[in-house]
Amino acid sequence: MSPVIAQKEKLPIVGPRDYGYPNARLRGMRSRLLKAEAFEHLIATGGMHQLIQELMRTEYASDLEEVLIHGRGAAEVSDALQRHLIRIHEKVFGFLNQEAKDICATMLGRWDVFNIKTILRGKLYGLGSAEISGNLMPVGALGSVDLAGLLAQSDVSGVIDTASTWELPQAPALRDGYEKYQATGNFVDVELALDRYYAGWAGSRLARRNSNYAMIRKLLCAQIDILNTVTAFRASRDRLSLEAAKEYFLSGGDGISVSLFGQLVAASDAGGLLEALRSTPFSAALEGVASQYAEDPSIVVFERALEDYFTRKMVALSSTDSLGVGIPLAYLWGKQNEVTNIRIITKAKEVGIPLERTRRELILV
Amino acid sequence: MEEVRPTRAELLERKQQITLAQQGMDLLKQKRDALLMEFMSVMDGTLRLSEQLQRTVVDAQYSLAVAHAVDGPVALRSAALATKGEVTVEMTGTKIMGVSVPVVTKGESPIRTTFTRGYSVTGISTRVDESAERFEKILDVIIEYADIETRLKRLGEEINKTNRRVNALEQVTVPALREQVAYISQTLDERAREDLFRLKKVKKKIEAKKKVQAV
Repeated sequence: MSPVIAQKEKLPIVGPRDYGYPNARLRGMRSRLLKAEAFEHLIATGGMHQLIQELMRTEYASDLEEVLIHGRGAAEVSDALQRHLIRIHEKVFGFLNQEAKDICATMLGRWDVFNIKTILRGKLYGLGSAEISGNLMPVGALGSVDLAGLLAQSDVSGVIDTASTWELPQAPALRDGYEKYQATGNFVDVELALDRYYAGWAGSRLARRNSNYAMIRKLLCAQIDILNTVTAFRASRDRLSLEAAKEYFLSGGDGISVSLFGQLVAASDAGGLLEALRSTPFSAALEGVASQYAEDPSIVVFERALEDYFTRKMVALSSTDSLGVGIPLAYLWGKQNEVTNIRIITKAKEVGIPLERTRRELILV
Repeated sequence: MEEVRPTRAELLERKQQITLAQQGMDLLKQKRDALLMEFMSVMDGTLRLSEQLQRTVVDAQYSLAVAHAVDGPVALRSAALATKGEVTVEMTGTKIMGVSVPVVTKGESPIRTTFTRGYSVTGISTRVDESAERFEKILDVIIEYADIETRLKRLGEEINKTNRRVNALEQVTVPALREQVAYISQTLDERAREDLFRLKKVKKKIEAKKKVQAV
């Protein structure tokens, strides 16, 4: 995948905490996010060709034009959506103030972790750089050039050495995880070290006495709590011992303590899990899908409810302080959600998922 | 007809061969019936597994489509990079009604748990997980299916072979032997009649000679 170069444009000089210009621009961009009727229109299209034609009338036209020379299938649309998302992130980061950049980069730091993990996985199994690079999403602090530098290394230790030389914040976690991996032979140790690093690093970056930081820190805590809840659900289903499950617990949340995590792991059924989570903010979201779970007893149902809960919280930031960091974050999450929904519709067209089922799969339309 | 010596010994041998062929034919018919019964019971299992395989493939494809759509191809492919693994199967053999059939048994089950799939669960959605699990189930069913389908194929081949043998005995060997027996019997009868005629002639000549001497 070639790095998408943001168009150079003359931007006004924005102060480190000046939200006036960026947020005004973002509100304008937000108005161009697809509405429910637009999604309904896309769902109703006859096939892939018609869907592409409809998408060519939206903001995705320029990204689609770049890939449609390779074909007019779902893979090309998916590629265009990925390019669009990367381009939008670069564009938004181009006009944000320093504080918003700092906060957004912290929340998007999970993509840096994701990209490093992907490179390490590829290197572990000896895949070529070209094969790995198509699976990267350079929307965090590590840009395409940084990722290309890591990709150029020949093996896992080379990637870790390069990260250390560049003094990437993930480097200490990588070294610790790699040391453990050499002892146990289990590569999950490296991935877990990165996940733990992200939770701790993001928490410390947002621990400032400032309303913007405090607001986003709460959301980060909710995100970590959701991850821990889903991990506990999985551990409970797989009858993992509490000791083993605790290895996967991420610190930094504020709703799921280690003891509550233990209760969830020990729960014998969905009723027990919901009962244990009654005092948490996700209770209502989970209770809402309990009947769906009864029909289809899969953790996917609960995870989806928790993801929707979190996305709703992020998108709701648009109605917070109009001169705060909520506006850029709400826009970025709204954009990610839009891309996911278009991808769902595209895939549904490709494999012939019924319209009603497609509507059900869409997220927060 | 092959060259047949029309002797009494040959006739006895051919009659013995007919008895042997009929006994063999009866045994082969019994074997064929037994193989058919075994074939039908294996067939039931094969159909059941085939349906199960089809259902598992449809489920897996659907969950892959959902994971691809919701999590995106990037997340899906990244997870796939981490889950390299191998499937071990053990190949042995057994005999059903004297027919050698290979037995395919699973080594380690290809179905892994979320925590042993090779990636950290904190970074992978349950949709991707479920998709991986369903494809592992396909592998599991495919191994079972390979075992039963090979058994069915071998039994089918053996039934065909036995059928051909029965037909060959019934339609070719036994009629040919019967024809040979008829030919030998006819030739021996003819020889007996010739001998009788010759003896009568000799007797007549002797009697005629005796009459002349008496006169």
